[in-house]
Amino acid sequence: MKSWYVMLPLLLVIASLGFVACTGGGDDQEYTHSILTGELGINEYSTLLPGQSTLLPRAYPGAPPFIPHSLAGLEISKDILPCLTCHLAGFSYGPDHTATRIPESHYTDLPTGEKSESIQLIRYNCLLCHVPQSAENLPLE
Amino acid sequence: MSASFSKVSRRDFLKIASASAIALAGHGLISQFTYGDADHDDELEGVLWEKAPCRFCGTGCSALVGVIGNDIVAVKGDPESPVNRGLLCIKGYHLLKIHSAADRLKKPLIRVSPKSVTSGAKFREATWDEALELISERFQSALQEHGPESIAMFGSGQWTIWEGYAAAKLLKGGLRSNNLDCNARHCMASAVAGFMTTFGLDEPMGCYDDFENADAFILWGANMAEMHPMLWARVSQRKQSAAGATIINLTVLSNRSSVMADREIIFKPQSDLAIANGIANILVQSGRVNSDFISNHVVFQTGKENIGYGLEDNSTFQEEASVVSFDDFKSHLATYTLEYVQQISGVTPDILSELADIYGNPNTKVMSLWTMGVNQHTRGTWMNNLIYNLHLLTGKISEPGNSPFSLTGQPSACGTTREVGTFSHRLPADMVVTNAEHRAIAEGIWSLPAGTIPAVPGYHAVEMMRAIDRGEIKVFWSLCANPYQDYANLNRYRKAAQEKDVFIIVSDVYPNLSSEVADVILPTAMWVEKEGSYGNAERRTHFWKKMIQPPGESRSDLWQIVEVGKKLGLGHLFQYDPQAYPLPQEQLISDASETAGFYMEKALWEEYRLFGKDKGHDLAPFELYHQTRGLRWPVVDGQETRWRYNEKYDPYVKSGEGINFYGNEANGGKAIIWFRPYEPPAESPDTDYPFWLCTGRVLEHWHSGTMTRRVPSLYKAYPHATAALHPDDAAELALSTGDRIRITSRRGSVEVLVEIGARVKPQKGMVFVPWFDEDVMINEATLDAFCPISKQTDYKKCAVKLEKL
Repeated sequence: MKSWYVMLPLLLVIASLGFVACTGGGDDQEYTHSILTGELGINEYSTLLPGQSTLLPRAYPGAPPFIPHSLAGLEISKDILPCLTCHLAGFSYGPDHTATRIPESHYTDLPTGEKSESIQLIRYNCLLCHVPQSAENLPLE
Repeated sequence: MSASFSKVSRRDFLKIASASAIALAGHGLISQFTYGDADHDDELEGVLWEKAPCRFCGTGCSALVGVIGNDIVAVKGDPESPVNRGLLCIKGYHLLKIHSAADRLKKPLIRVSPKSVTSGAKFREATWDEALELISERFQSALQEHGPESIAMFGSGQWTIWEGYAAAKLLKGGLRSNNLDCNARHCMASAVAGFMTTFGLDEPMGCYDDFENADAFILWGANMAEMHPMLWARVSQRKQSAAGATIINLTVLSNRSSVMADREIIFKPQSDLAIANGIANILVQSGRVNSDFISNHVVFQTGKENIGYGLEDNSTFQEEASVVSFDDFKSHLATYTLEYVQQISGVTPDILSELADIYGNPNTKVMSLWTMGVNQHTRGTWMNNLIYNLHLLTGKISEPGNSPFSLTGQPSACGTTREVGTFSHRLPADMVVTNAEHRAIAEGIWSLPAGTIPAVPGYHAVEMMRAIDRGEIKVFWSLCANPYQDYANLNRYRKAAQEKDVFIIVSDVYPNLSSEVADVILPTAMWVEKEGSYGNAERRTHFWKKMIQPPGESRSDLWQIVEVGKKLGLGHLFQYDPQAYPLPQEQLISDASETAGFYMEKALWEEYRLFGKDKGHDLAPFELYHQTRGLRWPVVDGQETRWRYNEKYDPYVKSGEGINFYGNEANGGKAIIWFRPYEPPAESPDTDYPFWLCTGRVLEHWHSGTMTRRVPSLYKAYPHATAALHPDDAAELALSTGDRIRITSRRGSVEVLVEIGARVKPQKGMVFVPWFDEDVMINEATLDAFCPISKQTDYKKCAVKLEKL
């Protein structure tokens, strides 16, 4: 068995670690991932029909608006784009329920600035930029 | 209640809308028309807008970043960008919050808890000098006691070009270790190996202009609608505007790309090898090949077969190539009859013939597109070769619209990891450490004594982790990556991090599953907090300026690499002439330049571009990239190159040559058509583990979610990873949406909730789980089998069982 003094440097290291951990508590951070919640879930969105939902706040001025209503039965295909039914003109379903009208930018070829009678076909896939929002909030703070 | 989008004028739209309005009015739902909501950004005043590439995928969109003071207040698509033409996807629009979540790392941290503690481990704050001193001591003692093989660095396809370059110079030129690899090994290594074995030069010959010139788009296991959104917007635009434009989605699961496709073809995992050979067999049997092209520009070869799966530690691969005749090649292919291909893949003869008709019709311009389905594959290099075969047999290559196009995953997988060569075997400009001449060129440019760079490749990414587990690596530094969430067979490697004598340094922006196993955490400045440079999938190099100050004491990876170099006595590697590279005027100075006292980024750039000059990799002078929306290399006399190997577009092809695959100088500039057979996957479902597990990404999140899961609106857009199943399997297992299951493989298990009929619909016998969610550590179940040629892991195929909980 080794003499205790051979172990001395190690004991000192352990002691100093203990010192840091105990008395230096103000500096030690318990290290957690704020987004690791230990909880599982599914991705659930609004079940309100178009015309029943109200606008969600945009993330910032100019941000693409979110989709506040259910998309059930409104599947986009290569032939059909159901979103246009309401958003082309911006229908109002009453004072509190106005479908956001597709803005001028969507009729404009942005690199050239040329305006067109039709919506730019590069915008066909609405869901690349416009997404629904679940009721869950980021588990940070 | 729906309207066709294409070829309908606004007046027509209004008609449709009015008709719908009348229909809805009948239900009493509509009281009036209103016209609200224009583009909505006119509320912003006093904003300074500057361009920056998006921080996420390999598409390489350009964003306009709106800054007031030190805050990013808005982001919009850059209308001057030829890539994204003024648009961004949902991730791009939310770039403005990726840097500002509440738990941003702001000070260096040193571990206090024992290594065995992960969740809830304690760290103490340290000064940079203390952290750097500790790191330097650990590097020095490892080097002295165990040699340069005992240190390793793991970098990123999200590094800026100069960060990757500085890392390569520090490791290979300074510390004399080739143990530098990166997360692009998991992402693009098979694409690199495919390019090198077929063409002798990395990266696509074509470019994004092909999207507006192709008639047919064949997706080989690539869900572009979610993974390359703005390129998908261009494909869709072509589909909707050009008569007869066709999209075929070849896939193992039904996904969002199927929505726009004329045909979705579901095939069994791994059988893409048989499908590609089956198409080639039809083409050669029916003579629908381009004979002139074949005789002038192609040679045929066979290679080693039964190459294994890299499952054993220290496995190696040695190619056994033989040149064969076209007739020999045909006889090899003859096995791949319609019936045989159907038996392996499930694809019926009429569908296979339809694919052959597209590739074989000389009037149809074909773009093949692929990424992770093909690259994350135990025969990934072979699959890349096989797609090139179809384009080479038909001569459909290197011209507008005819384009085998390898999409890339990360924003600078091409620019940084591939072009700089931050892989264990590579040097800049497609050179390799195993070639004495290449080493001499690098040593010359770096002003190093001959023999400095080791001639043996270092550990590739998977072997690096295995070497940690074997106790061979004593210091491991991960930057701009999240290996302890990202690696397949994760349990083995996380356990090694906690139990082995290895000092782990993690440079990151937020706490994640890698920093929790670190001994030192370095807080890192990101994206527009530093000056940067990325290279996208179409060879476009693009730059951005620093726009805001990083928070707290966070520092860029470039600053960190240089400072560690200085502590190790290697400061001379990063010392340049302040007279030649004065600090820039009228812009924020990066941390690396400020500390150096000269324009570090420019100095590194001007040195780096010596590697590719006159070698087909020419890059432009530094300033040009700040003035443009990027340029596609080779940039010769200030002009970018759109289609390589073609005399009409590429200055490297001499007049009269037509096509010259000049990467293969040794065989006279010919591309190589390889015969590569179907071989089974490393692990297939059986009675104990009856399901395939396939993993991947979703539109709303980037990789392991460290950034995007901290953006409130992206979190809300897709909060959880779930397990998708075929409805028949769900019925058989009595599972419905929201049920909790355990997915178990031979390596580990994970609990997750099922979601049936969501956006991904797997084939029968398959479960799909994305890997962005820290609460669903799916890589504890995945298998670390890899392509023995490229060493890229197959994250798409392993066997699991499912239990209802």
